[in-house]
Amino acid sequence: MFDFIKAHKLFVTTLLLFALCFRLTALSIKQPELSQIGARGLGKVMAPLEKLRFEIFQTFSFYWRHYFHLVGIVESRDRLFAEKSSLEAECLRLHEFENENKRLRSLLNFPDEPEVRQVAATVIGRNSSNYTRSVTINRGSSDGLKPGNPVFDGNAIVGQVIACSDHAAIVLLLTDNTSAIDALVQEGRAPGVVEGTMGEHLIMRYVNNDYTVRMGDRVISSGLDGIYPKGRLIGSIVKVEEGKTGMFKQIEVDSSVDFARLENVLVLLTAGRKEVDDLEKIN
Amino acid sequence: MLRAFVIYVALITLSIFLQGTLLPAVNPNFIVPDLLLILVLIVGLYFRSMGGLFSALLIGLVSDFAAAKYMGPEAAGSIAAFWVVIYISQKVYIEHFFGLMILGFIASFIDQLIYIGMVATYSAFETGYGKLFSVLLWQAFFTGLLTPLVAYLVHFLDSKTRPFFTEKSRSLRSY
Repeated sequence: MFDFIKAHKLFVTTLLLFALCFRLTALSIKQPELSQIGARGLGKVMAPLEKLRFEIFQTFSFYWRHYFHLVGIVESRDRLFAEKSSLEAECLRLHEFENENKRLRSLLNFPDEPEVRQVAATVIGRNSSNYTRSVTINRGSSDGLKPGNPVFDGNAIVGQVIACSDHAAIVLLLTDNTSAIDALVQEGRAPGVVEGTMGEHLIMRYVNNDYTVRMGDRVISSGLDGIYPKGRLIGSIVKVEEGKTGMFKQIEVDSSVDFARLENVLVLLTAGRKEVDDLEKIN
Repeated sequence: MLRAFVIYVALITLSIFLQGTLLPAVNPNFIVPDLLLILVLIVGLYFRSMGGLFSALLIGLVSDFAAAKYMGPEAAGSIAAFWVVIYISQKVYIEHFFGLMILGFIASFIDQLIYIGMVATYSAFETGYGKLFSVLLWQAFFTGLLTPLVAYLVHFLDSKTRPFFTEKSRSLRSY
């Protein structure tokens, strides 16, 4: 036996390493923080390089956009001025609604909305593996980020932070096959779970056949998962299939975020987590 | 030895950097070649020893760290790719451009099968098989395409180490 091991030590070591890899995979699925340890270390090395590449790219881009690529800028300015005046009127109207909303909430003794603290970040890198949909942003734990923080592009959901180093973080995108959000169809209030597929579209599961769902309906977060606040936009429905054998519909959702062109994002540091953190403390 | 170590560490860093920044910008569909796997192939060609095996494991783990999702499947894939290189390079003469290309394609294919298999063992892979197979084939194709270029680059940088394929006569049983 010992002679066999001695004669085939490379082969035997390979088998042992395979077993170790299996064990590590199982552990990292049960305890995601395990894979974050390595990601944090690697982030410390890679983040400065990615930032440097980003700065160089931005400098070139700045000079190109400000001094060379000026075709159509007058038309664009005129269009923006027209949009600005209509948006100012809209803003005034919404401001009135906000004040009215506050008054009505206080009359009904509704609890105040939790204070939202958010950090703007820039995408400085993308996923290195074809089986992971993630981006690297230029904010990290020194800016208050931690795994579980939701990330947005305007009001649309981008994903959540899964690993942080001091000055960079990895954001798992909504399109990753391990992402899932508790969701609602805005019009018919049909609840379900939106999951990533690694492809362009998302899948909404567990929507009961009894609900009426139409193409073009918007899908928003329900706020029940403790990560994403309620009412944030996920996308719009592009395909609905009635479940012929099962209880649920098969729904395809087109995300509102253009992940290929994602440049700037907002990371929410507090909203949605507070209640979960409080419950975890009690437990 | 130190020179080789420094070169490989620099190449690993450069590979992660390129895979995470420039290559996705070039390829809008996000299917990027696995540069770290190409380094594993080169390790398999240069160092067919315990040191080579552990280097393959290390490169795989770095790949796992870069993805920040799981720890282990890329490492297992790298070990499998290391053995694919050893096996194929002993059976077939591959010291030319197309030989290295095919080697890269096959090793990447096996590496991804191992990855998918390991992840699917523990958690559901919700992606359809068509999409999965398309990613698998494209990544293997791009990896195969770049393998000869990276192999010649490493050979150029690290010509003091022993050249490719000096141990063709050794039997696989001796491992």
